[in-house]
Amino acid sequence: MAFTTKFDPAHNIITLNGVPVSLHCHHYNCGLLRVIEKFPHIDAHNILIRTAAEEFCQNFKSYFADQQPDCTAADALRLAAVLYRVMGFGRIDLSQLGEAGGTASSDSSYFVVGWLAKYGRRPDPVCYVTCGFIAGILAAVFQAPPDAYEVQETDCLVTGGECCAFSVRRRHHGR
Amino acid sequence: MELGDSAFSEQSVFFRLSGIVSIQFFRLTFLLLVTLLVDIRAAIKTFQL
Repeated sequence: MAFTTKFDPAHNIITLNGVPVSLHCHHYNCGLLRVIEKFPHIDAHNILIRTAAEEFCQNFKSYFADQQPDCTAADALRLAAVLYRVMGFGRIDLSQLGEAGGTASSDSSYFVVGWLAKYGRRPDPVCYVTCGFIAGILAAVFQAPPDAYEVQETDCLVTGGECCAFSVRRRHHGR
Repeated sequence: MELGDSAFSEQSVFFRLSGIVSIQFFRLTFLLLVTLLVDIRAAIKTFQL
């Protein structure tokens, strides 16, 4: 299955396999994260993870249903890694994930490159959208609700780590 | 030309202004901003910020 973008000049809309998308640069993505992290009393990281999980879950489910109804979980995770790369987020290995969770790693991250270009190193991880991506993809593949998986970035390139590493577990309330 | 003078140097205006672009689902952008506004509004009300 190939992911391709298409521009509709009549309506000025870009779609990725039929789903409307927008292009955002690192000034927007990293600037937004920096602002909301400084705002007191809101859980900025959780909001990023939760909304990303919902969106990736819904859209990946539709890609699945439309084009790959019979593929295995491993095939679906490989497809998800391709989607992640096509969207410009970097290179991610999802092969160690299963229905109960597991680990994932990324040796090339859009969010790290963007943050380093704009602000330099930071002491804590920056790939919160990636956490949401992993949670949403797993929920889509294993037919669970978008909040069924808890994803934590345990190491991040932005802090000087060797790769971005993610630990995933399925929440008990997840169906 | 040395790297320090080139468009790709961290010192250049081009480097600082140019964007590293990714594709995002349109609905995610909308959902994120709405969720943030709702949470910020709630925090302002709760904590009298």
